[in-house]
Amino acid sequence: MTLTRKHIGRFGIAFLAAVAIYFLHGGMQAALWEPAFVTGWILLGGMLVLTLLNTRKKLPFLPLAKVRNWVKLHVYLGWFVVGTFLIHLDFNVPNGWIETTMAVLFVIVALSGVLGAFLSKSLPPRLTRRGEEVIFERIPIFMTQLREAADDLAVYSVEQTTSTSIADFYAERLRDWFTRPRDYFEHIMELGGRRFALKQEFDSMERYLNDTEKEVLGELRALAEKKSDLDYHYALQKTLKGWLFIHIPATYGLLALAVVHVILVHAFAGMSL
Amino acid sequence: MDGPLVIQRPMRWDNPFSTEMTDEDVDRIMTLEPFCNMDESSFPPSMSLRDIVRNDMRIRNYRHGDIVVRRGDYGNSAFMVLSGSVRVVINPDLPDALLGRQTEKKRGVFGALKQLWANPDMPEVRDVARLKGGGAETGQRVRDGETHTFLQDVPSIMKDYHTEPLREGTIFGEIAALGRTPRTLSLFADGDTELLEIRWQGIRDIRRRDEAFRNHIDKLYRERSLIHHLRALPLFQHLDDETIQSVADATVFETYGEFEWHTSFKKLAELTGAERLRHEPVIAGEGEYVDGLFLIRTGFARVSRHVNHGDPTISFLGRGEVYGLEELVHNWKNDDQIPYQNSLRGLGNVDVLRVPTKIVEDIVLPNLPPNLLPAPIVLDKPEADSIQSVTQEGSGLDTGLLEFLVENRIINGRATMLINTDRCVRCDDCVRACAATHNNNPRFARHGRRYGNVMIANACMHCTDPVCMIGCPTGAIHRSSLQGQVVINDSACIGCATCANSCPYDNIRMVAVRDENGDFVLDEANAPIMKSTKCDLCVDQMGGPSCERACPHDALRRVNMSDLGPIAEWLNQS
Repeated sequence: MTLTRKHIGRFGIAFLAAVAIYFLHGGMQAALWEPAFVTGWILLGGMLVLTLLNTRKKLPFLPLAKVRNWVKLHVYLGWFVVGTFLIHLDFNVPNGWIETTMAVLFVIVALSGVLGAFLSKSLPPRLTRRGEEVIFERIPIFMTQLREAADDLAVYSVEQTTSTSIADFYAERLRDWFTRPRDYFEHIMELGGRRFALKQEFDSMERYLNDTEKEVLGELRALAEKKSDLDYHYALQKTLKGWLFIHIPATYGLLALAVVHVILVHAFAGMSL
Repeated sequence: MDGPLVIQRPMRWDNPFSTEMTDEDVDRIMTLEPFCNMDESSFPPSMSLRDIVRNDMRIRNYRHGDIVVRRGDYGNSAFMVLSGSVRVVINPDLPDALLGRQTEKKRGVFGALKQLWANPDMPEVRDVARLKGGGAETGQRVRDGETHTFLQDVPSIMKDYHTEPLREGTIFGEIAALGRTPRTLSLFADGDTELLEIRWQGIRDIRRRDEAFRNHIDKLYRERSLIHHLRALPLFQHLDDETIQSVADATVFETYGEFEWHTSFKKLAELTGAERLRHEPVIAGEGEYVDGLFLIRTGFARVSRHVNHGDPTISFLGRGEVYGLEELVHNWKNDDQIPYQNSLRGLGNVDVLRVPTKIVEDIVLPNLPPNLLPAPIVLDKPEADSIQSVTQEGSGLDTGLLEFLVENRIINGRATMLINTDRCVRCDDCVRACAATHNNNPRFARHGRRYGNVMIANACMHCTDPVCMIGCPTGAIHRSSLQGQVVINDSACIGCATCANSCPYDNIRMVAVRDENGDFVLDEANAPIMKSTKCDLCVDQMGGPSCERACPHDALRRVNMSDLGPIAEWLNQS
C-alpha cells in the first residue's frame, strides 16, 4: 500500500482531534472538573459510530452513503478513538477487573482492526498473482474433484504402465495431502518450502520412470500444482475472513462492558462532576 | 477449366432464417414488388437474390390482434405485408402493460426497509397469483412453436388509439433493423395476416446491390432519423435547421464488415493479432487523405496506429462517436495538410455516416464554439511511438487491458461490473447486497473473465447494443423508462431462453421458480416454470446499484466503457 497525501491528511485530522481531546482533558483537570466523564462519553460515542459500519452493511437498500466511505470513516475514527482511549485512561494501566477486561478487549479490537486493515491491503494482490480466481465456499468442492482425478490417475497409471511406482508415490506422499487444505502457514508467510519439496519429489521420481509413466506423472504434477494453488487461496481467503471473528465479537463484548461501566460510574459518581 | 465452379456462400446461410421456405414460397415472393423489379444480374452467383429470399427471409402468420412489433423493441429484421393488414399505433403510445412491460418505480423508504423481513428464505420465490394472472389486457398463444402475444380487446384499442392500416406490399421496420435502434411504433395484426420477415443481413445485401431499394432505404433514413442523429451530437447542435439539413443532404452512408460483432468475436479472439486484423475492415486508413468526418451509426470500431509490425489499439468507438475531427480541424487551421493519423477499423459489421471534408470545413467548423474544438495534434514528437505510449495516449489504460476489453467486446457495456482483484478482499458483501435487494437472489456471480487484476464479473452490462433484446417473443426484456437499464418483466417472461442464448457474455440465467411454500411451480406437463433473471442495476432501489455501494474497499465499480478516463483513474489510484 502506498501512503498518499489523502491518507496522511485524514490521519492528521484524526490525530489533531485526539490532541484537542488531550488539551480539553488537561483543561478540565486544571479547572478541577472530572474529565473522564467527558472523554468517556466521547469514547463510547465514537465506538458506537464505529459499530454502525456493520449496521450499514446490513442495510444495502438504503441510501446511507457508500460502504467504502463508511470504511474510511471507520479507520480514521478508529485512530481517534484509540487516542481518546489513552487519554481517558490518563495513560495509566487500569485497575479493577471490569476496567482491565475492557482495556484488554479494547486492545484486542484495536490491534485486530489494524491487522485487518493490513491484511485487506496486502493479501488481495497476492491472490491475484497466483492461481485462478475461486470462490471460498467452493474450494472444498474443487479439492474433492482434484483428489478424485488424482485417485483415478493413480489407478490408470497401474493399468497403463503395469508399474506401481506412480501409484505408490501417490499413496505414500500425496494422497493424504490431497484430502484437505494444507500448508496454511507456509502460504500465509509465503515460505514456499512445501512447494519446493513437492517439486523435488516429482523431479526425483522421474529418474525411475519410462516415457509413458513420465507422461502420467506430468499430469499428476499438474493436479498437485492446482491443489497447491487452491491451498494458497484457501489460506489467504480464510485469513481475510478470519480476523473479523476476533474483531467483531470483541467489539460487542467491549460495548456490553462499556454499558455496565457507564452505569457503575454514574451510580458511584457522587458529587465529583 | 475443369470441374464445377466453386463459390463461397455466406456462412450465415448455414443457419437460414427459416428452414421452411419452399421453392413455391421463393417463386411467390419473387413475383412481388419490390423483388420482381430488382435486377437479378446485379447480384453475384454466390449471393443471388433468390438465395437471399430463401435464406434471409421467412413467412410468418399472425392472427387478429397479435402484436407484431412493440415500440422500444430491438429488432434485427424488417417486415413486408404479404396478405391481410397490420395496424400501426400512431397516437397515443400503447401503455407498458399492453406491451408486456413493467412500469419501474423507485421504492420508498418503507418499501426499501421491508426487504429486511419480507425477503423469502427460499430462492426464486414468486407470487403465484401474479404468475397465473399475466396481463389482463393481453394474452399469449403458441402457434407453430412460436409464442404470440395478442391484444384481448382490439375494438377498444381501435376506438381509443389513433391507428393506421398498412396494406399488402408495405415494408416496415427496415430502419430499426439496419440501425439496430429501438422500434418507434407498435404494430398489431388486423385480421389474419401473412408477413414476410427479412433479417437485417438480407436487407443489407439487397440494399448494396439494388439501387432503387438503396435509394428507398436511404431516403427513409434521411427523412426519419438522420437529422435526429446529427442533432444528438454536440458538433451539430449549434446549427440551425436549414444548415443541418444541408449537412444531412451531403452525408454519405457506408457499411463495413460482414459479420455481426456478437457472433464473430469469440472465434476471432482465438486468432493471432495479425490474423484478427485481416478480419477488421479499414474504414479510414492511417496515412490516407482526410475525406470526411466519420460518425458511427451502428457497431463498434477500433482506432489503432501502426507501430513496427503491430497495430496497437488507441481507443474504440461506438454508436454516436466521431472519428477524424482532429485531422479536419488541423487541416482547416493550417496550410500543411495532414492525413489520418490513425486507422479506424470495423469490429464486425459497422454502419458509418461520412460527412464530407468540404461540408465540415465550410459549414460545421466555422460555426463550432471554440470549447468544442479538439486539442491540436502534436506532429513533431521528440520520440518515436512505442506500443505502450500509443495505448496510453488514447485511454491511460494498460496496453494489454485495452486489447482485452476490445477483443472480448466488453466495450459494449454501459454498466460493466469491474472488480479490481488487487483490492477485493473476497468478502462477498457485493453478492449479499445484491441478494438483499432482489428477494434473496443474487443477480450476478463474482466470477468472470480476468485480465491481470481486472475481473469482468458475470453481471449484465446493460449494453449499448443489447443483442439479448432481439427476438423476445413477449417484449419482457426491455429498456427501463427510468435510465435505460435493460430489465426483464418477470410476469411477461415465458422462459423461452431467447435472451439468455443471445447474450454473448452469458450474463442471463434461467431459473426454476417456486411458490411461497418453496415448491417448484410446474406447468401442465409437470415441467418447472422457468424465468430469465439478470442484474437490473437495482432499478427500483433508492441508492442505485447495491453491489457497488456495498463494496468496502472500492474494489467494484459499474462503469460505462465509452468513457475510459474514469476507469483508468480508478484502476491507477493507490
